Amino acid sequence: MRRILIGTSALPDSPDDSKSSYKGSSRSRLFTVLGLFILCFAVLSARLIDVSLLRDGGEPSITRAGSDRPGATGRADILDRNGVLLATTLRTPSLYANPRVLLDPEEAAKKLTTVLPDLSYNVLIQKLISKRSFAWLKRGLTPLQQHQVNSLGIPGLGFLDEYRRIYPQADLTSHIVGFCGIDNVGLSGIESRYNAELTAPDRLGQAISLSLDIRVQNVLHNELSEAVKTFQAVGAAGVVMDVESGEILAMVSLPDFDPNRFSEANAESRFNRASLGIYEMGSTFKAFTVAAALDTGIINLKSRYDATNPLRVARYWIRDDHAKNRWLSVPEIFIYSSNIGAAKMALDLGGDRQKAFLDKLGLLSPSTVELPEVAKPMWPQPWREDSTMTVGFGHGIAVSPIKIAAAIASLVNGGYRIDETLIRGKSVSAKPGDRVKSVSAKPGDRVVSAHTSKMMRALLRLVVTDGTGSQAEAVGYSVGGKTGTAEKPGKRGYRRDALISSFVGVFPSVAPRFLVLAVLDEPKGTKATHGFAGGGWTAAPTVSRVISKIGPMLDVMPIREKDAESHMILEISSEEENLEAF
Amino acid sequence: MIGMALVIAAAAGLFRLKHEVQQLEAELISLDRTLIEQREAIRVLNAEWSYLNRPERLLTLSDRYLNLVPLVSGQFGRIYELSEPARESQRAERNVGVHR
Repeated sequence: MRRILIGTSALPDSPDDSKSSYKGSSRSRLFTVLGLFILCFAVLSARLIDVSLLRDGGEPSITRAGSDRPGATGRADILDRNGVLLATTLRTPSLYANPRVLLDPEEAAKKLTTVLPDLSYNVLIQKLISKRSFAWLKRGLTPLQQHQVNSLGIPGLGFLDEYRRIYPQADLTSHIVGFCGIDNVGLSGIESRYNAELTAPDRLGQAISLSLDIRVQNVLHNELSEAVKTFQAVGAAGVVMDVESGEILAMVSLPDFDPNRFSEANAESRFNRASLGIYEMGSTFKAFTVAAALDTGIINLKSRYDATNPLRVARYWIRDDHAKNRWLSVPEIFIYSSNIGAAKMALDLGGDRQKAFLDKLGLLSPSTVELPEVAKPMWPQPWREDSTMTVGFGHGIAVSPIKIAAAIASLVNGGYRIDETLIRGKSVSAKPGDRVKSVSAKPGDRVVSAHTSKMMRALLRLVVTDGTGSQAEAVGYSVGGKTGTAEKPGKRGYRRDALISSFVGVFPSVAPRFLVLAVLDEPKGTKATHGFAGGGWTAAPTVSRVISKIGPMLDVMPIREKDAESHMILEISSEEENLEAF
Repeated sequence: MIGMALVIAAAAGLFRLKHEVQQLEAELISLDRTLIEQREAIRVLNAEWSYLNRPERLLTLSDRYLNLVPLVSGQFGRIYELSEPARESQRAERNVGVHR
């Protein structure tokens, strides 16, 4: 370059060669700089054209991505099977203070207690005179309270929006839906069991549908509350279940609480008797003894047992509450709830087969219901001969009401094991790749034969038409069921004054669709029940009222008495003759 | 020269575009804000709807304002049961006819 420039100079050998060469070099520098500038501008313009004309709007829009995602509240809703809202998240303002900015803590505290009366002055003043720069005063204010606090005009107070869990159905579903703590982490019930799913970012806004039907839940809740009041019981539990799928339509535990104010509830009312409580259920267990004995073929409906005298087992006597003091046929043992007969039947069955049968029904393992509050059942260890006899009529073994419901449902639904569930459609969503794993999509393992199941339906119906459960009848719904009355264990043996009275009913008994279980804890007899507090006097009428109210809701076509009886007579005619023979 | 003209044109174009985008983004943000507010409002209304439709409350309201009682099984019937009285009345008419 330099060489060329020199070559083009006019006077190569002139005296001012040095000057000329200087001139040449300055020009060359100029051109260099110019070239650089042109290059830069070219790059810039290319970039400009590229940015303004050629680039399409393919860049992600930041604001859109930030605000349009569903369920920005961070926790999905919980619905019942018909889409009724059971739990939702709302934005609520929370009040905080900056004590450093606060001018007059005493006056501020005094003013605040006038609009927020549930705050105590002493606690407030403690918070307000502290040296910190942030203190929560009250969380989850209503819009009205926010307005009132604002109009006090106290400097140093402020609001932060927070999301708060709201339970519109209040105490109706307290034990099932459960509740969340102040920081929206599930602490009990479905809220705790499905905490991860409810907050998972990839399925935000996707509500969880429970199997509950809020109308059925309400009926069960009302009737059980009524029974608790009438019989002055300390508590109650109830379940309504679909016997085909195991879906729980209603589950109640009394006393209960308002999950919106869970901190005010005591441990007693937070306790879920239906799934976490385990009870010796008494005579209800005779259904399992009879079913096992019938299914293994060691007895048939015409077999008879001697129930003339009480039976001695170890230190105890086994007596009958409704003693007939004679030989009883199998249907009679069942409908008069004979302990002696059931004990002898259990002996014939044998401890191993009895235990295996109860295990097959799921009675020896904790419930698989979708709640964190489930209890392990308790049974005699070792399982001796006297245990076999007492378990035969439901003593010495304690299980949760929800397991009893599922086990009885498995006996009457045609003989298939079903597992109780609180999630709607869990038992039918067998699509491959479905998130919710199917528990009993197809009929589960067979526990008894279809024939045994049919005999059990007939026997359960007989208990209501001719036995201890007559008060459970609901006109048109052909109720079948079994009473249960058990003394609660105390410090020294069983307490005669404290009973667990229950009734488990299925309807319509010809082809059962639903099961209703009512358990009353320590009911007291009334004048109307002649002082009796057993299952047939207290729980059975409750079940009857529940069934007559939920039958129409659940599309169960009432059966004319004539039709129903003719069906039943067909099935039990042989035993009827037997009964009359005595 | 042409390069200069292009640069100026592109700069003007970019400026316009940026301005438009800013306007659109402001609009988007305000729409998003409205969307969130409306969603919140819907959530509140849903919760309120569920609260007002508690079975317990409906029951008291129905007791107070409606003359309704719970369904009982006797109120259901099958279609063939309807034909019975119709047949009876037909028979009755015929009998009346014979007597005349």
